[in-house]
Amino acid sequence: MFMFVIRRLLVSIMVVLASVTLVFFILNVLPGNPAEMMLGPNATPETLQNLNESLGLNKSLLVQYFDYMRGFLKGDLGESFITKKPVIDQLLAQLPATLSLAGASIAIAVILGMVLGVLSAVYQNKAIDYVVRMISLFSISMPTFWLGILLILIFSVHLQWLPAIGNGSLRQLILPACCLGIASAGSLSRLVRNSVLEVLNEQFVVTLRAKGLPEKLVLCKHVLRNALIPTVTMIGIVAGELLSGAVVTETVFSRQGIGRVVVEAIMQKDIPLVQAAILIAAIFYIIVNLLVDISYTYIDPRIRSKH
Amino acid sequence: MLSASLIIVFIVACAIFPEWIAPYSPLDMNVNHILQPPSAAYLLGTDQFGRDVFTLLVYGSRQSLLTGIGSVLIGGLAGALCGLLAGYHGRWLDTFFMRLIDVVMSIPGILLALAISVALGSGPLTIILAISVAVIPGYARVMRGQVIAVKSRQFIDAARAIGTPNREIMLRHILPNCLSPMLVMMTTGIGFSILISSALSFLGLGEISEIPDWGYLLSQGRSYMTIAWWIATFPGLAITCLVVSVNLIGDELRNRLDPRNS
Amino acid sequence: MMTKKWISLMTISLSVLLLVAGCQNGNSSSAVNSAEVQHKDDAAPMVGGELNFALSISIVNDILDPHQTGSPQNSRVQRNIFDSLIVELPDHTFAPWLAESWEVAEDGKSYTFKLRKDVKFHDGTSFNAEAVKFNFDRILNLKAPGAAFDNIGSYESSEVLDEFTVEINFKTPFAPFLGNLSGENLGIVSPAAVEKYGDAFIHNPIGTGPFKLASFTAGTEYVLERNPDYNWPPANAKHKGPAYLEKVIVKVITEEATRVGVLQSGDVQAADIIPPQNILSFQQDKNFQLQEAEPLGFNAAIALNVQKAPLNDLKLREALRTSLDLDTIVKTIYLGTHQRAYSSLSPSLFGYDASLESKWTSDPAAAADQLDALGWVKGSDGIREKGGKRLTVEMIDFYANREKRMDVMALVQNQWRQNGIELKITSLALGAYMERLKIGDFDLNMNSKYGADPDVARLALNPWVPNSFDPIQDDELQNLLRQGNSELDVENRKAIYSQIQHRIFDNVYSIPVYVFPYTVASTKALKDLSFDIHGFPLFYDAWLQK
Repeated sequence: MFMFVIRRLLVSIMVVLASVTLVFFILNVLPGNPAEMMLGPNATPETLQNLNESLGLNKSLLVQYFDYMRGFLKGDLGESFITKKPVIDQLLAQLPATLSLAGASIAIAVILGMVLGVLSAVYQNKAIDYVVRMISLFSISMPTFWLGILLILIFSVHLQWLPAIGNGSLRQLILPACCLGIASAGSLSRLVRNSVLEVLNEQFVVTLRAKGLPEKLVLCKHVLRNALIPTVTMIGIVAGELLSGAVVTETVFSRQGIGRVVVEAIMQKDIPLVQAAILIAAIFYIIVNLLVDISYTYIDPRIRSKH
Repeated sequence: MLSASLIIVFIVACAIFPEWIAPYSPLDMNVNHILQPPSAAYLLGTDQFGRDVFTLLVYGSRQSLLTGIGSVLIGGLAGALCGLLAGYHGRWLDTFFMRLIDVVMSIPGILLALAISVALGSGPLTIILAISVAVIPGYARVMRGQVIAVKSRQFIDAARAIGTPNREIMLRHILPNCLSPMLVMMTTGIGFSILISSALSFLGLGEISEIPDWGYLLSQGRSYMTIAWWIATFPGLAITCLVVSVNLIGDELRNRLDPRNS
Repeated sequence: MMTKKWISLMTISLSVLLLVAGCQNGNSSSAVNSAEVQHKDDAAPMVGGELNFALSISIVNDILDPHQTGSPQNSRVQRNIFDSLIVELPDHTFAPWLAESWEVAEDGKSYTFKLRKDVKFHDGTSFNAEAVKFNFDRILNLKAPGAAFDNIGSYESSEVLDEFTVEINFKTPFAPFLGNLSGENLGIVSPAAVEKYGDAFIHNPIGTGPFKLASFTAGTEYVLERNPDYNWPPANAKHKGPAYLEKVIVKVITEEATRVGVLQSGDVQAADIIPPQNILSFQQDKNFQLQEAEPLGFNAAIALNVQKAPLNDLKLREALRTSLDLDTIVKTIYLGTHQRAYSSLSPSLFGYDASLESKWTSDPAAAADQLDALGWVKGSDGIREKGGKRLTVEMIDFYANREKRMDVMALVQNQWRQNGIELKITSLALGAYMERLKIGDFDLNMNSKYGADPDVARLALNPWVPNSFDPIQDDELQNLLRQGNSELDVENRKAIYSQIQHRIFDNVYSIPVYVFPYTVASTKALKDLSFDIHGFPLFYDAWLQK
């Protein structure tokens, strides 16, 4: 197990390097000169030239890339082209807000998704199943920004139960986390329902039942355990997509966060900032997925034996 | 199921023959009838330009369907192939594909799509391509997870024991057992793609055309929610109806395709 | 018929507003018109309280250095942190602020200011002639100059005559100087703080204003705290001493529906740039009030690239314009809340030429005849062709429907299509947009520019990106713009700007669309929020009724 984690970590470093490389080249295809956007209309050709030189934008792309990677390997992510502040400071300041949004929405997704999915499977083709399936269908087919606006209109403007904006308290987190988490909960409950149903039909469950094991025990000990696999896979996927969702959610709820910053950075071609954001997203994603893979081996003994 | 099929048929009909179904032209801007609530003349009301919302939905269905289906086909097939090969072959191929997938997946989807569409310039094809790339990893991962789970089942060991060739095990035994989650995911994926394209519209990078797709309509109608709810609500409902219907059909397909049900 | 009625209504209401603004006489420094006339409260203003103010556009890169930005949303916050030497009144005359008096040399090349002696920066250092000199020299030497650089024109040097007297010298006469000086882009920053923070000054703004920046959260929130020592408001302020409000928390809420929602829910007490569809409802709501100010400047206009075919043909450009029914467009999109623009300059700006208002009317039929005469004949799909080329023009934009400009263009597209002209609208990221502007790869774009002096036309008409393509290339126009920039005689100057407006109009360099009203909706508890001549909000006199 230890060796497995070490090996995964090494591979993860390669993945991060590769992602950063990929993004570097995609961003450099984007049109626009960052120096011009920084300086605005009044810059003289000389200042523009100087800035291009100091940013290294006059060098060839490959040289720029190696310069960047050299700094990167030394732990220097560079300064934002636009604000001239170290990008890492800029992003770390935004990180807590995005992480709390992400954490809260994963929690909502997992709890809602598991409960609804299992309910739906156990009461297959009963009223409760139809209701749950309808709810999850609607939740996954609603655009995030629309859902967010509806949540604000209903819970903030009309009922005045919850604040629509703010970064501080838990209460201020509820609406945005729901907005971001509900869609994941919907897809999770569908997945859980399907896999619980599949497991319920499997030979060993039939055998267990035939042996007279109480239905509750069958469900909790054997069925749920198997249903956890897709759930855990899904968490990995959701974690990768959280920053995407955060982009929209943070805009609708005017929250501080990495998502908003990075969209602006893409538009302005602020390469160091985008790179660093991608790096943070990649690390987050890799950690979550490492945990996912490790948990597979605990949940399903059949997979453990393969390692 | 029947109603779902009817809805799909209707939407597809709208996409193919919009001019037979829509009461007006989508280019008609009747500035004397802006922001009209639903009525007999305007079934679903009119928008801020005085266009008939129902007509816009009928004409917009084509682009929405194309975006949804196109990106799911490209992204889903590519992803499934990666996942199948990686999951079945294991070892270095698995490592290679999974790292590749990790690389793409560690970059958040909307940001990737955003970067691609900024790089290629806006246009319907760009959007489809950008979304395809962004959804590949999801399919690959689910496929691989499923393949690994199926691979450890007894009947695969049995097939191997009697000397069935790899390709046959992959196609005849593993693939059918992996189809159901893929189908579920691809049906949901059509909606998901339409949702991403509407998110791109929301971020200001959707395609602006005289015949807007549903995502764009929804995105543009959102700021009128409090005074003219119908502009955003009906495109939202149209997307929901489409996704719900495709999902129901996907579920039905899953039941029929599942080898254990036959 | 409808249109005429509407215009006269607008004209009448405008003149009433101007009268009201004129009578206010020191109460408010701008052409503010409150739809709901503010009650003259007998009750004395209350001290204290926090005002949550929803700002519609992100503060660009969180920069709060007046010398290094030119974006109006930054200015809205900066105005309350930094003071100016003088203040401009609605009748375009000037009154004291940090400067008690001033003199202009006969040759118009030097100005002498006598400064107040009791002014302190937020960091405790004293404001004096040295500080003024430091500010001007700083603007001249900035690496990335913002609007401030344009605002000092031909500035040469400053001389400290004594501790509180400073002389500012120009190479050539610079007519917009006093107007520019009253703007916040030439607000006075603390020299000590600039030394101390260096490049980080942009996030540590230290001025002499009624509010200081207490803290900010990048991109979302800016907390302004009352400056307790403040006692040097502009001559037209309603009171003396520190501001009433304890704190102003500026929250950036770009999403329209959210911004309107949080005002209705009470999360904020005021919100700016209210979407037209909500303006009416706030006006009618007894719990809210709606204030409006005209931010002076170069009106939002469709700019034409006259260097590139097909728009290099003046007759074609005329036909494009005559095909449009701008009254209908502006009325439809802005629901009667925005005034239609006739000239490039906004109506309350010095030099505005009202004679343009009757210079043309919409006449699609005549435009069609003109297009036919030019050889552009309708093809099978209704789009005109000439020599196998379709009459297609492309508009590029990056604002994502800011101020509903894309909606305007959608109606333009529709009206042009009916006359056989095809308009393609391309929405780009900022980088791509600038790249295409730079090489002249576009037919149309839409722009506007803030500025309280008609010299704003020079800034708006010259290329935005350095060393780049000029879509107009009219030497005569450039000449006029230069003359306007240096002409000190008021009447002569007016005549020059009249010529400029006519020249832009006659050559169809741009088609002005609407006059943007800066709107603030607030709960009735908020009193005496005012605006400067640029239309930027002033929190100094504002107070909250408990």
